[in-house]
Amino acid sequence: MPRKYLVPLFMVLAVLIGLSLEAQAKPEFFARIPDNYEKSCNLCHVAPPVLNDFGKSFKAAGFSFEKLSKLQSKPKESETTSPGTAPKPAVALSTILKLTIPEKVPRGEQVEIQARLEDATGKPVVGAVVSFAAPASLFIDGNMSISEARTDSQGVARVRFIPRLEKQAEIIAQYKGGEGFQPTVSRSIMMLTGDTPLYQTDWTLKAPFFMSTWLILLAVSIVWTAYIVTYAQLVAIRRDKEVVTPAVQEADQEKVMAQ
Amino acid sequence: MKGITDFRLRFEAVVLSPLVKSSRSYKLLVTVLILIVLWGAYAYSTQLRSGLMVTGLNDRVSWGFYITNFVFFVGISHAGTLLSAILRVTGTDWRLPITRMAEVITAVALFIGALMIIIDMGRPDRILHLLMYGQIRSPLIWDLISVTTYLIGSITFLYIPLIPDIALCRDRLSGSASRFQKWVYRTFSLGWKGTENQKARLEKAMGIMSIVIIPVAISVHTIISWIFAMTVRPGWNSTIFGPYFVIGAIFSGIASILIVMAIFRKVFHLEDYIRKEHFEKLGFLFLTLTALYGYFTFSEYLTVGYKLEGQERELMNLLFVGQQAPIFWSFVIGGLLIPALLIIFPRTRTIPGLVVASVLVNIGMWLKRFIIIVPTLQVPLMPYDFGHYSPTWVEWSVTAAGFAGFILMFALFARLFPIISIWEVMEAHEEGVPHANSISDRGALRPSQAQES
Repeated sequence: MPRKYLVPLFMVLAVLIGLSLEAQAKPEFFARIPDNYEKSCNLCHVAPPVLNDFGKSFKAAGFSFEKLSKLQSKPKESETTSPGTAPKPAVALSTILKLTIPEKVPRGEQVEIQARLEDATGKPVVGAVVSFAAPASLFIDGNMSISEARTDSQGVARVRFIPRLEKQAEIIAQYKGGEGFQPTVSRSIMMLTGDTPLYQTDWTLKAPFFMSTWLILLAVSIVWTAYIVTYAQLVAIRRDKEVVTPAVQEADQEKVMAQ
Repeated sequence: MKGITDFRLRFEAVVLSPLVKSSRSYKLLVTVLILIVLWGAYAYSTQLRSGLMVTGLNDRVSWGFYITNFVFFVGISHAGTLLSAILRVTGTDWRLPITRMAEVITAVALFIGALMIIIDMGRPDRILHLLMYGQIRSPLIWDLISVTTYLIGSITFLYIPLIPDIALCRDRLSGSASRFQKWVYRTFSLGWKGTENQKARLEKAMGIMSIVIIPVAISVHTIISWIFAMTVRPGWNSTIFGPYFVIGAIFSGIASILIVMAIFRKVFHLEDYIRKEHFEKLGFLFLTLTALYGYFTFSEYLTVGYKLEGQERELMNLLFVGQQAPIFWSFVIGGLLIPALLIIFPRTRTIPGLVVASVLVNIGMWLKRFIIIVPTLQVPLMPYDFGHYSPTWVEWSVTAAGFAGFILMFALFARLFPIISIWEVMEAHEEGVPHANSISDRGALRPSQAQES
């Protein structure tokens, strides 16, 4: 290819690559996500690039999680804690989330999961929203939301859950912070009992042994073998050293005329 | 001998002349097409930056214009397979002057169709996931394999019979071609000299590809139909989708060939070589396929409408009397009935009549692909509102760019390479095969007559 086409070609490629990168999430934001937040696109996006409420808040806070925590820690009238609690501290207190799950749970049966939220002094945090999730793998890996609940007067949030996995399920409880308290996350493993899976994989069609996916591979192999044989003919054409002399050409034409 | 030489000289002059100089209208056409393609590229860049939210696609109707274009373009790619491969295998010689046009339609249409799939993906880099995580049990993987195989096969099938003509251009146009053209001819002629060994190799390669490309082409459109038919959605859950799509593809492919033949015949003054009999023979084939496609369509909707299982009732209402009724009936009347009438009656079975019928069929078949895809997605599978789809300027622009790109690639091909297979027509002419080269009555002599003279 002449050199004069290379520069514009590279420029076009660079533009296309740049545009595609522009459409993707900026990696710098991932690095800023604190440990107690979900490190995935779902934290800020409904579906990239559309922002959810958290994403809009993050953007309004100048893409700073620190500023966002400060904004969210502003007291609201409706979420005032019950009488007798300590006045709101100027600095956000650290919190502890204690997740309580049964040791062994029969798969497919409903269980109650509890999470107690308390501050660093051990006092319960009342009226806080705790979200519960379980990691799932369905085309992509992520945390599947179970439910959310508010902590009661004892600081306990309760949800009901039906585990459907095999052997064990990880439960994640998360408090996203606010009202003068820092966010926190807690994880625990729920052991599941029961050997019978809740779904069964079975062959819906019993077919002879030769009717399988290898037939596809065989058919494709036959076609591509034919292609390779064809390309071998082209290589042979290229390598042909025979020279056609004018005498040979005239003889060929006489043959055609005689016919 | 003199007759053959005269014919050859005149034939080569007519067919090779567009390669040497281009008219002002050609340059204007190419400029306009490039501008449309660039506008489509800009629209796509908008989609890349902002995501699929700039299109009318949504969580309910996730396939729209792009997939319609994909199915349409892959459909018309059957033109080359039918005319070039099937008629070659059956020894039908009247195809010779038109095989190359058909083969170019195949290669270019497949390329544009495959591009539409990538455009439909909001994140085109994720196509790598098909290779990394693909399941061989998925119809999408079958589609990837078959379309890729067909694309490579059709490009190969286009190139092989082109070699002797490229060599001819290398030898005949060395004085008048541009530097780029000379490089192309020198490189891609593979040192063709017309030796016995080379001819034997070429025939063998063409023979292999002619046979292999037929099942590949049939498999491609069958597999594309299975992407729909392997679901349980109303309108898609059908056992006849495989042959239905194949017949539809050949149907629209023939319509495309007729349009291309008429254009090149007029523009390049090929009236002596692409004659009325070619149009008539294709016209009868066209009529047969119109009847077949109409039969399949009738059968499909009758069996669905008679039983009305599940959400089929909602789908049929949507098509017959609902929101999509204008498009559906436009396809039936404009894309099937009117073309059939134009072909049936001798008074309208003229070249202009066939071209009008072909244009109507192509428009109708695009609409048919649209009403296969979109209304089914609109019908809710649970008690919920119907989905909506309204294509945006981005989709319209990309669609226009797709069609412009198709025409542009064709125009550029015709500027570089002979649009009729010169060596095959000459070979048939020298063998005295009737109708093979459509020698004009006022044209050159047959070999026996040449000897007498």
